[in-house]
Amino acid sequence: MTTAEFNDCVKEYADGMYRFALKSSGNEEDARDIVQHAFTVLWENREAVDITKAKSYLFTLVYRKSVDRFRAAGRQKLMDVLPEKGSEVIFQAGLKKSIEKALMSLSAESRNLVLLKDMEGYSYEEITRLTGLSLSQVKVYLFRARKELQKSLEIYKYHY
Amino acid sequence: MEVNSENIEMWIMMLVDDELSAEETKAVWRFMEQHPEYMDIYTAFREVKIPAEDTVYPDIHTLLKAEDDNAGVPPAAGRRIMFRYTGWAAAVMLLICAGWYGLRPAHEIPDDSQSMPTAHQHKPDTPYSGLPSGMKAVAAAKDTNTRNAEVVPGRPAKVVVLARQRNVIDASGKDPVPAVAVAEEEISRIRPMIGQGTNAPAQLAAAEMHMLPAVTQEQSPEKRESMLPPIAASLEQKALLDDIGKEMQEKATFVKDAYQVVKNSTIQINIGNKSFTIKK
Repeated sequence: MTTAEFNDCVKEYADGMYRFALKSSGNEEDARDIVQHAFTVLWENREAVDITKAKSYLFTLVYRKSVDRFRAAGRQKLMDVLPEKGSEVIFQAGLKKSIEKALMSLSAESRNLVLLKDMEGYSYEEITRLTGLSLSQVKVYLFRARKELQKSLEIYKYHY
Repeated sequence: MEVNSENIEMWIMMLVDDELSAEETKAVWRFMEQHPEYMDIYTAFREVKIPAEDTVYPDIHTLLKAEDDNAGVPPAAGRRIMFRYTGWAAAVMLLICAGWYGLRPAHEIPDDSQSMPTAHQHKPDTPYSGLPSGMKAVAAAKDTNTRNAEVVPGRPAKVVVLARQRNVIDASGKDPVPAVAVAEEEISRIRPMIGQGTNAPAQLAAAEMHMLPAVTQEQSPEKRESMLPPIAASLEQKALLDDIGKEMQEKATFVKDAYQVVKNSTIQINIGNKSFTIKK
């Protein structure tokens, strides 16, 4: 990979990687560190990485780093972020926030699968390559994650 | 795989995730038309889809590499600011150190001065070499111009020191007689006043040095003026300044070279799994 190709990767993938890392870690500084780490690794291994595989290489690095970080930090509780009652606007804003918080309450692996699928638009097949999981595992983990999110949403609606 | 009430939720999730073929999609929709109660499940899956967002990496330029850059990825913005002036700071520190080193008195400069000759080295046989140790210290303390002291053949070293202290001796030593004679006379006046014990040399030195201002003042201004060799003294001072200038020039060259080394160096620091690269 040439320097120009590396810079193309930065321009094309940095935002998506940052978005994923930010949603996964819930922390801007951590997200920046994760993205920077991924590009550092890519730069150091640029001779060995083919440009056509760079995207999945980068997202794999971000995914793994995000899982590691979350394991070190521990889970966040959903119940302490339930919003106060109010208007429809507040309800919708609270709903979005509630989903985001519910996302943070998932295991790192489940959350990252949801993010890869929903936010980054990866297919199940692509996710298997990024994460090293089997297709069945991806489906099952995603299914469980979505059910957990639904449960959290129900709690929110009931509370509201 | 057949769509039934046992696996419909998984099929619905895959439908929402747009992972089904056209044929599978039709099959799922057909099943839900027959069992409308599953439409709620479909809605529930759609509700928890995380919406796409436009999030931008805050300082993408810090990740980009220059075409000729073969080192590591630059650090994040905060760290980059921290190290932005490191090269200049190092150069300034080196200049300060070099300046301090070069401006120290010659007798404080250690042996490494061999590579950078000083005025002191040009005249190794100083008048202090003939003095007792006590007097050496006193003379050095009193005479800040020690590097210019001369040896006058046929005259005791301490007499020459006294003459130099009063600035009445020719730097070349060719015509020192009047000044040296004055100094010899002064010492002969001092000597009877001091003891004869083991501290006698030190007492003599101290007494000599304390007497100097008074003895010098005894001379009339005209006489002192006539004894002074102004041109020789100026030349001597010029030579000293030239020597100091050469030293400074050598040290400036050394600092310049050192700065170039620092400027062209790349330092990589690995802390855990993080890697920082410092590059001017």
